[in-house]
This record gives sequence, structure tokens and C-alpha cells, in this order.
Amino acid sequence: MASSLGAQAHAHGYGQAQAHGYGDARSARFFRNAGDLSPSSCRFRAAMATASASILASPAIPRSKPAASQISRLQTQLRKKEISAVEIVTEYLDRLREKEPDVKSFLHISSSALDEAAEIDGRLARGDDPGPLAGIPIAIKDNLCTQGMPSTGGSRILDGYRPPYDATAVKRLKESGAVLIGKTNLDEFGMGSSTESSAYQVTSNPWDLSRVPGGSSGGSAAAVAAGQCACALGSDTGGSIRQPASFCGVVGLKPTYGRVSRFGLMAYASSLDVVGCLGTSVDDVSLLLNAIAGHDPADATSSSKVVPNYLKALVPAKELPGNPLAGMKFGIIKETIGEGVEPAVAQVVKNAVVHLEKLGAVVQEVSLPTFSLGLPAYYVLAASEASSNLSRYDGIRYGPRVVADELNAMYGASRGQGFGAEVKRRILMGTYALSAGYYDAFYKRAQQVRTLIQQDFKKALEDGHILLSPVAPSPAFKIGEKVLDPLSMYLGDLMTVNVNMAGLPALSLPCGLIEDEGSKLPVGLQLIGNAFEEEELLRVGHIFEQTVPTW
Amino acid sequence: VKPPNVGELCEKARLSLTPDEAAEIGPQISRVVGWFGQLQEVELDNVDPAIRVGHEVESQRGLRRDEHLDFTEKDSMVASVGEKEGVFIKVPKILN
Repeated sequence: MASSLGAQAHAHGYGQAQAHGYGDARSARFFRNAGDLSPSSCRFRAAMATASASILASPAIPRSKPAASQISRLQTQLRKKEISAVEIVTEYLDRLREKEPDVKSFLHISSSALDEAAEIDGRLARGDDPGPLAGIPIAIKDNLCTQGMPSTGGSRILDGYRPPYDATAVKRLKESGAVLIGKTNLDEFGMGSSTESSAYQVTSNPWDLSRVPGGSSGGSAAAVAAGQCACALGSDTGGSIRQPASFCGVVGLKPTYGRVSRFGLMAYASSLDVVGCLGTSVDDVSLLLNAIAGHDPADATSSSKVVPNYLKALVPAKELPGNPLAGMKFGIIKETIGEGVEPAVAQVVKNAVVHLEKLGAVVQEVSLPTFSLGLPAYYVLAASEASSNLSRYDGIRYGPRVVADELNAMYGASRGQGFGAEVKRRILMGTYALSAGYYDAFYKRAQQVRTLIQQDFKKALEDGHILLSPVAPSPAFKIGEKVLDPLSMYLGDLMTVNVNMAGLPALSLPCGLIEDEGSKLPVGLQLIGNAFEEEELLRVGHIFEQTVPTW
Repeated sequence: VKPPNVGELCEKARLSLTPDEAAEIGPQISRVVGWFGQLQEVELDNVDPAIRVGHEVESQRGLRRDEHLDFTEKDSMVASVGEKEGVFIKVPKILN
């Protein structure tokens, strides 16, 4: 069976690499090469794998109680000397290796994680405080530059690339004492909604291995859901944190544009990209945001607004008053719960609304009339910005170079061979939309639609509403189901792209399960707030997850 | 509005496609561009184009100080370059 052969190759390869003391590059290659890349082989794998195998039997994922903070629990145990950083990282690494043949979340596993953990233990023993994330194993999406580890962006054009610097968000995690456990899989350069357009491997959804984890931060979401790391960084340009969080049943936060530095994030669409966090609880996501948020002189679009302590907004369940959301107004976006959304998803979201009302909230329906225009507008803008941002991948200063006699031929061949199909499509569509003569018809009109969408949000949010919607019109779909028709993939982004065009913060919160062909699949609730009001979103999200019936 | 010409676009984007790739990508791009056509059907007179997000972005407040900053990992950057000759990056000849 293809999947068990794959598993053997992984286990054997990794074991050998470790036994011979090979550096991480070698062990990383064993992992990478054991998977096959083409859509047809994905479908083969999907067909051959046990149809709805789930790997969530592990006790690592708390399912029977309300979501609890892994970071807080581990920090308490660490400081009380009940556990060491080395023991924490060992536990996660063991689970990472155990699940990896099935989930394939990682493109690279750190070879220095245990050394870093030992250093944390040393500092603690000396009375130093390594920081609020001391010893916490965190996974990093592979489009964020990490100096000590390869960074491929999920693309062959950066095969073997080792950045000379850390992304600011990565640097801040290290300064907080975190142990970076590895780099996670993604759709190439963030372009995709399933992680199937990674040039290296397809990641499986831990809830059902024949299904996608979502994208583009699918590796990060799957790794968190499978307990391979305590939490993870991702990026979100059109929903790339929120949708995989929804598909994998974890919490995902897209911060306000400018809240977190983009320095070191491989740019896809610079006016839309943000760096954000994924975890198994709102507490953990808040702790991550505390660490990474804040002004960065290296990012001209990063905000100088003061970063509050996001954890302060979170009240433990037993201290909550009877009606903790009394006086709060929510608006469920009418255009997201009707046609185009699977009825089962709409029902789960409506149940979540009932729960909010039981907590004292007032939930009304609001309309954002230009809502559906956002999707084509987003794709014009994103493809256009991508066509510009990806010009830098020319084979000259980094990445593989295809030999040619003449410069243009070298560019063409290096890029033609280095980029995958989806990236090529978007570069060409973006080039078209920006061409002289077409600019007014497409790019300018998309920008005008962007203005309308911003105005609609502003109106809906000004009454102090938090807006609600499903994160995606469906739960996780099958691997291979949408790869043949790019447009069908784009349509799934309906609920998320408008938030990026407005630059607003949004939280994806697990709110229930749907049964589909014998598998239980998570559904996420999206909460959208005003710019820089992450505290409100996290506060409400925390109350919701602490009080929601277990599932 | 003329439909996309894959050959012209590839030249502009410095991207080489094999004939098979071009045959597959061409119709896919045309289909998506056709879908973009909805944007032409909307009434957009008197609407300003938005270049960026809805709230003020730091760089709108002015320029940073004109002072020299040094990047310390130059050796590592240079190590990534495929072909070098002395202090130069080597590239194929450039034809007009």
C-alpha cells in the first residue's frame, strides 16, 4: 500500500540519518523525497490510504474538556521544575516523528532543537529567565525566513536556500525562549487553499488523512492539530491561516495589517499579507501574539501602536459572570450563511450564534452588499502584486539556476522550471491585469471594489459589532478534489478574502463538527473586529471556547 | 478587452512554458480572466481606488531618518549566489 511504503521510507530514512549523525539537511531530504508530488499521485495516495483514517486518538489533543493553554501549563511545570525543557521538546519531537509519516506537515525538522532546549534548562538553572515562551516547541511556516534552517516557500525555486537572517516574528519568538521545532509545509509562496500546490509534498488533515488540511498554512494547522508542536506561525493573505485552522479544528488568528512585522515573510501580495498564529486554544494564540506583535523599523508598514498584554483580556471560565457577553453586539454576515454555503456548515454556525446569545450577546443579521465582489477583486489584486513580488526569483542571487547562453533564456528557464503550475498561473494573470490597456479594466476596478468593501465593513463595525461568519463554505475536502479546476479552489475563499482587503483582524474558532462519509470534520467560526482590536476578538473567543459544550 | 495571449505574457513575465504547459495553462487563465469580467459590470463611477488597507499605515506618516545601516550577514548572502567571479555575480550575456 502506497501510504505504508511511504511510512517505511520515512521511518527508515530518518532513523538512518540520525544513526549516522548526518546533519539536518540530509534527514530533511529523506523526509522530502519520500513523497511524490503530482496531483495524480496525490489521488492515488488518497485512494490507497485507509479511507477515513484519523490520527487523533492521541491523548495529546484535549478533546473531552474545554480548550486549555498548552503554553501556560508547560511554563508552570517548567518553572516548578516538574519538567525540563529537554523533556518538553523530546515529548513533542517523539510525537512529531510518530505522526509525520501520516500527516507530512514538515519540510524540515530542526536538528538543534534539543540543544536549544538544553540551553534553556541551563539558563533556568542559573536563575535566568529565558522568556515567556521558554522551552515551548513552535513550528514555523516555510515562507518565513529562519537563519538556521532552510526556507523554501514550498517552492523548488528556493530549493536549498538558507536565509542570511531571521524574519522579525521568528527572531522575537527566539528572544522569548521558544524552541523552533521545524518548518511547515505550505502552498507554494502562499498561493493556494489546500497545501496541494507545495512543490514538495501533500500534507494530510489529521482528522481524515484522505482530506486536505486547508491552505496555504496547512502544514502549520495540521502540525498543531496532530500535537507535533505546541503552536505555530503562519501567514494569511486571503484566509491562509483561518481556513486551515477551520479545516483542522484549531484556533487561528489573522492580526490587523501592520500589527506584526512582515520583515522576513516571503512576499506574496504586500498590501494583503500578514503573519499570524495558530494554537489549540485562544490563550496560546494570545501568548504568541504578545511575543511577535509590535513596530519594526525594518517593515515600513508595521504599526507603532502600543501592544497590549493580550493575555490580560482573558478571564478563566470559573471567574466569568453569569452573562459574560451581556451588552455585546454581534452581526452575522447575511451573505455568508445563505446560498453557496453547505447547509451543515450554516447550521453549525447558527448553533454557535445560539450559544453566544445564551452568554448574553445580542446577535443581528447585517448585510455587506458588495461582499461577493470581493473574491474576483482579491484575485486580481493578489495575482497582480504577486507578479511583481515574484520577479526577484530569477536564479541569479539565490536558488537553482538553469544554465543558458543568454540572460532572458536563463530567466525563463530558471523560473519556468522552478515555479509550480499555480504560481505560474497567478504570475501570468497578474501580468495580464497590469498590462497597458488592461489596467483600467481589471486592476483599477479591483482597487475601487476594495474601497467599497472597506466602506461596508466600516459601516457594519461602527456600531460596536463584532462580525460573524463561517470561515469556509465547506469542511475539509478530499485530496485531489479541486486540483483540476483552479476556479473551484478560489471560490472556497469567499468568506476570508474581504478581511484582508480591509486589513482587519479576524479569529477562526473551532465551533463544532460535521459528519461526512463517516469522518468527523471540524468547522470554524470567523469573528471579525475593528483594526487593532485583537483584544476584543480574543476575549470573546476565549469566553466562547471555555463555555462551549464539549465535542 | 483582448483575451490573454500566453506567449506575450510569458515574455513579459520572463517565464518559459513547455508547449504542453502552455496548452494546459492557457484555457485555465482564460477561464479565470473571464470570471474577473464581473468587475466590469459594477457601477464604480466616483469610487476612489484603494491602494492599501482601510486604516493608516505607518509609512504614510513620513520617511525614516536618512542614516546608514549595516547588514551584518553579508558573507551568508554572498554564499547563496550560484556563480561568482571575484566580487562579481556571473550571468550569461545580455542580448537586446
